[in-house]
Amino acid sequence: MVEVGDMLVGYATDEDIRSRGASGGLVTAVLAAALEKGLVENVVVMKHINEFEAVPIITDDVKEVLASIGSLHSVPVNLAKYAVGRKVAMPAKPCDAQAVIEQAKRGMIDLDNTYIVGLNCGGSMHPVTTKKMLVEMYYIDQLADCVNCGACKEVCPVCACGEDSKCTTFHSLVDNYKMSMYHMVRMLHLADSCISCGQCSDVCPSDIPITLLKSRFAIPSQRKRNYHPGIDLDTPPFFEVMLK
Amino acid sequence: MKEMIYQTVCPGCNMGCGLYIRENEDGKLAVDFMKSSSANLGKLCRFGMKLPYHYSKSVSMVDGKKASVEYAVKIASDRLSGEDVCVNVNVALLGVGNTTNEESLAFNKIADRMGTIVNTGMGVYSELPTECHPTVGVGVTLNDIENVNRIALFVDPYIQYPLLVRRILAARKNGAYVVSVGLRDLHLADENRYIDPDLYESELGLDSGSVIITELHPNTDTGWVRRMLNLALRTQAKILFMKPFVNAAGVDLLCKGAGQKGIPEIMDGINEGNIKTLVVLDSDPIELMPDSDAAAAILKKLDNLIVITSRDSPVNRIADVVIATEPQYAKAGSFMNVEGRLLNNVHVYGDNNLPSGTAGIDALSTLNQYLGGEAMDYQTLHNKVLESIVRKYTKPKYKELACQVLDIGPVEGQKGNLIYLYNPFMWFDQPDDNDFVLVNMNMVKKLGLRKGGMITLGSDVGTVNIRYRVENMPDGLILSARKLPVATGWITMVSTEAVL
Repeated sequence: MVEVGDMLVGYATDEDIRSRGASGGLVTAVLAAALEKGLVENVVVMKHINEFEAVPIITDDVKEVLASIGSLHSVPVNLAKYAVGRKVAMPAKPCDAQAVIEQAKRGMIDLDNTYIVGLNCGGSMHPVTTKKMLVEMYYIDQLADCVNCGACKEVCPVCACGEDSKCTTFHSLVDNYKMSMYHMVRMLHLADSCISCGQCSDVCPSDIPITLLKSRFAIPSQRKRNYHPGIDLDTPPFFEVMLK
Repeated sequence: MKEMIYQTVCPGCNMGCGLYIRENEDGKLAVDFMKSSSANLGKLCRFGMKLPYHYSKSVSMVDGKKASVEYAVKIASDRLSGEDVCVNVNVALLGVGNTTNEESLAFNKIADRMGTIVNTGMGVYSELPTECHPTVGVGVTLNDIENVNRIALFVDPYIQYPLLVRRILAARKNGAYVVSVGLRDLHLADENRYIDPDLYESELGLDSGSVIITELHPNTDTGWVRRMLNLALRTQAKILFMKPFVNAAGVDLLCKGAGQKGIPEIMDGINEGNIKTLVVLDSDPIELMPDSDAAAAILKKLDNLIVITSRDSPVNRIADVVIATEPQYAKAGSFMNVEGRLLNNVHVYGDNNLPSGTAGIDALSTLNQYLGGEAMDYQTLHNKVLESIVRKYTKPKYKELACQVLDIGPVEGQKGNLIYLYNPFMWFDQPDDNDFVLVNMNMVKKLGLRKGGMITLGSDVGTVNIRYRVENMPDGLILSARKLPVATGWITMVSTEAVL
């Protein structure tokens, strides 16, 4: 028998749910099973609207639960109110779970009738703010025009990697994210060495302002550690220092 | 020997992207950026960045054994003068435009001497009225694209012609409205349409301030080209036919349009026994045909396969004679890009004792002399090129053309239409990190494809398991940017199923 505090690894036994779910489809499978087995009358899931937006729905339809597969951390909603007066199961970010507890203390929610599947959360933001941030600060729309030439790496005067570099190893053309793993890795990797010379923007065949993008990460990181790339030979690269 | 630096043009397509090739003392190559190049401002696509992998020096061979260039040329002339060779009947010359205008002109002189013509592989030309050729041959300038009010896009610039992306984005910034009428949704388009070709004129809103961007390649359907020309004529929109091969526009102007055979037609001729001798100038039918294995099998039926080339490629390995020339970047000479701009190779730095870059022309000249013709030299050929092939975009002066477009048609059950998205990697059959096909979500659901899984494609010629990427595109299509061993043409009907 499972005890409180036990840690188990789980995944959906249904192959379709497991393959479409974000991390093995466990949450979706548990919620669907709770409905099917009559443990609850309703479940709360997020109905997908677009990549930035979802709307919470209360449903007793297993099909709608299965259609909700996939997590959306950028959706800030107060799920606790959907549990009021119902025999309900729902996924909950830490803040949602805390809200349920506070509502229960105030007699609004019956915890005996409420099942919570807790999720981790990296923080939530308003979808419009998220989109604005990605478009204006991280040029997400322009990055979608990347033709994967690799010229920005080739021309980079501070890139010390050879052909087998992380940015190219982790990247695959079969992925079609707007911001590819190639750019993600390079943004991080150049944080301690980018000199904002502008060469990467110069050679970009899609005219993406890559230098500005790299600088968004590099300049604050370098300031925080009082690191001035290319100014002296004595200060080691701060990533190297952190590793040691 | 010092490092040598050559200013040259990317061989990936007919865009005319300028670049530098650096060759160090060990012969190792690297690409450098030529930021003053009008076509690309130094920017290069994925293929351009990988050019060091593309250039592979050829070796002269006779009957499978290494030979000197002089001996290979002599044997080639012997074979071309043989009793069994009847130039007007069973010999074909092919030069698609992978080399300089000067070498192409020299090849034409050999064809003249032999009483035949050089085929550029674009069979469409012989099927179009000659008054259409200027419009098909040289398009609007790349700068003009940035200043139109509307663009109708019939190619996929991201995969096929990546240096078009910035031109189209610049046009949008300048207020142009971009409509893609392609095979999948394009991020840079304001609107993605999948409409009946009969509705192009009424639905696309084109006028004299617009440009149509489409393409022409050896496997293009003639009916499609005619439809594009009609659309330009009726709407008065400007038109640009993008093309593969660095000098496609140049060889079109140098070669005689009448009687041109397409590569598929030449291969049919060989297969049926009507063509017994094939001479190719920097053109590999094994790379150019959709089905490499089938092409190689057909070429083996030839009595004489003579290859004049600057690259090591599959056709060299089955050729009777290989005449090796210097790499394309080291040749003296010029290329004409898709907008009609003449671009020159220049040796900008390095050893002063460097060969003159005319080894190819010298070999062609010797071959011509063996065949009874006159000697040719680079400067004379270059002057002739400067006199004869300058061309600018001209407004359509042809009349309405009858056309019947190849019908891709709906598919039933588990079938799908596999369509090649031709790009430089495909024309040179060069590997890239693109071992996947593009399908839409309906196909994923219908076949029950797994996330990160594979799809099986099958046809009469084989089966392949391959990864897939999901795109917004019409039902029943499977797009590939690499050659697959199930294809028999530009479009191939294939069976589909999930790999379990």
